[in-house]
Amino acid sequence: MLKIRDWFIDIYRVWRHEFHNVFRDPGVMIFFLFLPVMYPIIYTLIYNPELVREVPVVVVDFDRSPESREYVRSLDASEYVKIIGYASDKIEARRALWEKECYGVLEIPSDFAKDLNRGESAQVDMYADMSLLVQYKGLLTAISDVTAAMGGHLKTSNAPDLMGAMMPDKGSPMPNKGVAIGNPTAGFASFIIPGILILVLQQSLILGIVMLGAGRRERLRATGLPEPTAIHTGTARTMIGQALCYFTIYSIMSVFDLYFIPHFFNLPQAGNYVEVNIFVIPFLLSTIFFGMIVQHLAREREDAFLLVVFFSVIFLFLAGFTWPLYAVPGFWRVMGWLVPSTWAVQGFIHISSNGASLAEVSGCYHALWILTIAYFLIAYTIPRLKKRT
Amino acid sequence: MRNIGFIASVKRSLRQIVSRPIYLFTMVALPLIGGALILTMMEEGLPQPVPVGLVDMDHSELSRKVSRTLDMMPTITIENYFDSFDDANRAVKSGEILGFIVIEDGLEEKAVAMRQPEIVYYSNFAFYVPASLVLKGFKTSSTLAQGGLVKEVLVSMGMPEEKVASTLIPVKTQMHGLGNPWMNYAIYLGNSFLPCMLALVILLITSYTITVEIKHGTSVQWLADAKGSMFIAILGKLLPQTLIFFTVGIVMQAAMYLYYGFPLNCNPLIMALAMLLLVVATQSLALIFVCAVPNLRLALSVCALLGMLSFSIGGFSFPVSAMYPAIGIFSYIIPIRYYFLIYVDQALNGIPLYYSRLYFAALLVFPLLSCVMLKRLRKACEKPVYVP
Repeated sequence: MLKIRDWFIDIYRVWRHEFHNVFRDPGVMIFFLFLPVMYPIIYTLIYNPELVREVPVVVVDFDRSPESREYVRSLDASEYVKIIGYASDKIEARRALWEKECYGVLEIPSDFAKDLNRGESAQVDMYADMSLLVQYKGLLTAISDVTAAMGGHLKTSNAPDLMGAMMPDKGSPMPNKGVAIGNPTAGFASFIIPGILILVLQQSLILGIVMLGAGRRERLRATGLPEPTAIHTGTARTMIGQALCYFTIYSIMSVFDLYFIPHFFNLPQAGNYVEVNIFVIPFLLSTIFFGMIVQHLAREREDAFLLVVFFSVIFLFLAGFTWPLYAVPGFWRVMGWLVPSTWAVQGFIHISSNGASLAEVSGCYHALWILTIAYFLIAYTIPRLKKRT
Repeated sequence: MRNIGFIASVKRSLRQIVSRPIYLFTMVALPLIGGALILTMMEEGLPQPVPVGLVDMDHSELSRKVSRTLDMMPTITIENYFDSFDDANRAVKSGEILGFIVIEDGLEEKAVAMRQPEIVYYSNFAFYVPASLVLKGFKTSSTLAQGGLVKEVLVSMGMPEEKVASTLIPVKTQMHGLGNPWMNYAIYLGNSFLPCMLALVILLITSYTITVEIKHGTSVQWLADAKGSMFIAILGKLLPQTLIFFTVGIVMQAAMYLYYGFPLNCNPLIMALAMLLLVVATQSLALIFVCAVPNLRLALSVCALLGMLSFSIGGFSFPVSAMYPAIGIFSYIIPIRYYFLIYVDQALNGIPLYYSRLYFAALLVFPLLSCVMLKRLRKACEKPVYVP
């Protein structure tokens, strides 16, 4: 009985001591406190305008008819397109593209009005710059909206009576409507920030843990002695005590990142917040033990930057929110399974954007607990193996 | 030839690079792994077909017609059938499907009676790229189904069949995606993210390999090897790294333009030159930070922060023009932005070099600026102090 009490007292002493280590180390403080606060704010500010509107377009109108002008006007009325002017010929329009004055050129052929009045489909061409797909998408949306509207409105010379008879309110017989769920405005920040928040928590946590571990080893190398005030106790107790210290700090940081940031910036928060907090527990723990494994690769404190920073880019793509998981090739998908952020991003997005309950993301939740146990065991074994060799 | 310490500095740099495996791993393996990830992952160009659901509460001839049209869409595939909105919504929450279409009870009846029944489809925009495809697929198929319906009625009312199409769609718009008509994501993200990954590694390694000399107090010897010239010391240290980074960059370009056949509508030497300038400019940017804060941890923090943010403020996916001006302005201080603009002009659009002149000039500003600041670094190297 007494032994179990001692065991817990040891954990408590390691926990308390680790706080000293964290708070007197300015490098670690930047990772643990500055990064999880500043990164999300900066990222959200970058994407916060959410939508791309008013993509500039130049028109080459070879028809110059009232009909062609009406078509251009209706396109200009779309929020995605802004007609910035007419060009006299293709060469002038191309120059406007090259000078980046516009990102699209609309070309109307000379028989536009003639075709319309004969009751034939008139064809126009839109040349779109493809450097940014969001702008291309804007042009595409504007055009398909205008085309759909014209089908109902534009009077053609043939069979107006037929159309009138069939569609009394000029509408279509079977209208359709698209609804964006999970991100009602279909905005950029609401899509990308939830995933980034998880990745920021993971990156900063691992950076700090690696720097602390490498710092211990630097000291050992320099003086040949462990730090004088360190608590000497079993490996498991040391690991658990340290993990609880980081966990304590990050339970505060994750409330800031996963609750206050979405709250301040009006990002989707459809889920139950208590469930978010429960979901985050195995995410933080598995990340902490993952960091304790990476720790052993670092010789210098600053190796943390080389070992950790770049991997966040890789983890971002493995997490399956920029590129969906079902389209990720098998090898990379398995790699992704080994990273806590993959499960955490999927679970967190489904909870906070789609309003899923913890039970509905139980697959991700259980996977994170499995990673926690696996990474604890690996991190526990490494120092023992090292001692033996 | 007079001994100016250049040879000694280069030798010293090479010894440093091979002194620990972490350097070559970071310089060569990481950017190539990252590049391979993006290129193999997006090989198909678009993540399609997207798994979606169908909620058919009508079970009529018309609803089956809609379902058949859905099957023909290349962008979506019906993963599952549901009996109610709630069931389908639950499948969205668990990630099984990314959208669904609801066909209300009585659709056919109302359509025949001209009571305008509405088809509504839902798309999970928490996952932006597949959601756009879902929306497109559903929109096209329900518009087609509606067109079929109207056509039947119009023809039965005596309109000649060839006139029906032009009545429904009076104006057809042909979209021409210049340079990338397939809307291929590998082309779109590969050309910006691969060099941006390289730039991140350059920022980290450059600041690390310089300031670690200060941390270990070896900077005095480093200067001495270069016969006391800070300029020679830097040149000797960074030139071998330039060669390695440039080689990695060329391998990336070869993978994209030769192996995958991405559009390259300009002389390949222009892109190679842009890559060389990107490497040198990014090294210079890191050097500028190192001169400003000659401390290993702080310099690395600044470089890591900027390197990571480059993926966003570079404006590769969300345009700089749509950002807040106070944020967008930072895109001008990162070399990768100019490389990206050169790529768009030259490789993607193949326009005259004249229009890209300013971007090349901008990339040359970085090395010039860094030379001006070397004095500060020299002071730090002469009296090395390590602040943990």
